[in-house]
Amino acid sequence: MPESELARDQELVVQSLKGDRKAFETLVRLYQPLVSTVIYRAVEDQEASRDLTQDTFVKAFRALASYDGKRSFKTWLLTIANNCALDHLRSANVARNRSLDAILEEEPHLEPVGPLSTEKEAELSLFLGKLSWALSLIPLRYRQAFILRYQFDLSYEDIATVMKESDNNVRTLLFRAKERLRKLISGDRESSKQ
Amino acid sequence: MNLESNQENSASKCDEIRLELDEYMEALVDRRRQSDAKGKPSLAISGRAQEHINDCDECLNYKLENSALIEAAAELPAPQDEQLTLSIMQSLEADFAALGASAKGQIESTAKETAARLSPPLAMALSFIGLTALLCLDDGMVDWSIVSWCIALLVVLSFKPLLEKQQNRYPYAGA
Repeated sequence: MPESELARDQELVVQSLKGDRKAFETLVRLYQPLVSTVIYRAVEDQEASRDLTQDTFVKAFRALASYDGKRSFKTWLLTIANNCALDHLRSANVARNRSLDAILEEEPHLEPVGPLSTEKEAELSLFLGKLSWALSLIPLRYRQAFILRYQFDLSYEDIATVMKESDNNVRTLLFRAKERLRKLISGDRESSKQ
Repeated sequence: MNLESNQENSASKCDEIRLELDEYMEALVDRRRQSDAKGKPSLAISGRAQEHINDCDECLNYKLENSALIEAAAELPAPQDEQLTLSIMQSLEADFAALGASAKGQIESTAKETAARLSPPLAMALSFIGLTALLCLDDGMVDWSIVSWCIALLVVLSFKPLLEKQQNRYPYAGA
């Protein structure tokens, strides 16, 4: 994380703690797209992701005094967001008797996906659409690592902090995520050729 | 036998090259997140790797597909939601009000404490200066009387802590 970004965030946190609304609003504007996206990729529900994004910022504000200014605010905020998303998934799945580990390792693409409809095919005609579609089919942990690294350029160390994993595990998760995505996208390309 | 060993060698060479390609692409991502990357030399894969992917379609595909994934990921939408920002700030109104009230209270109590801490010495200093000025106005006053006034002042000052101690022990004595 660039030093200037760190210094800027620290200053905004100090001002927010003094009751400066504008300072915290700036932090919200800076990180809301990141937090929303990471949460949405985890819960895959627009409405829930909005609520959880709001919860994340409210929790962050209330815990702002405990934030260690020497560390990255972005990573700290993403850790709260990740916890919010996992708590939501845990509570949503308690009724179905599924553990969080099962959710994290779940392989959605093993469920019958079926051939893509014509509408879906048109929607996914762009590579970005295909990537989004493929991302929704890989396990949550792979998805989280992929998004944090390649969409938001976080370092291995920061991803490890957010996901409570080791650096080596993050490397493995990323390798597997890319492998799965490549297979899904090229497989889809092959099937659409036929 | 020879064919098998050739295949094994080729597979391990592909693994090696893919590892190098992965490291190269990760370095590109790291470069992407560095704000001071402009002056740095551009990254490139080794001549050996380049030579290999020119001959190996699988490794070339591996590089192209991974590059496409990584580049596309950076383009995935992450929209700014103005309504959500407003909603977050609205939900924090009460927290900001509480924070403002506590900060105001803190400022007031600090001001009172400072005033309480500063006023006795300040009053003493002002009274001493005032008294000295009065004495200096009187031409008939000799030096020893100024000294005696100072001694009297010192006696009062030395008794002050004792008086305060007594007052603290019986705070409502005079009421």
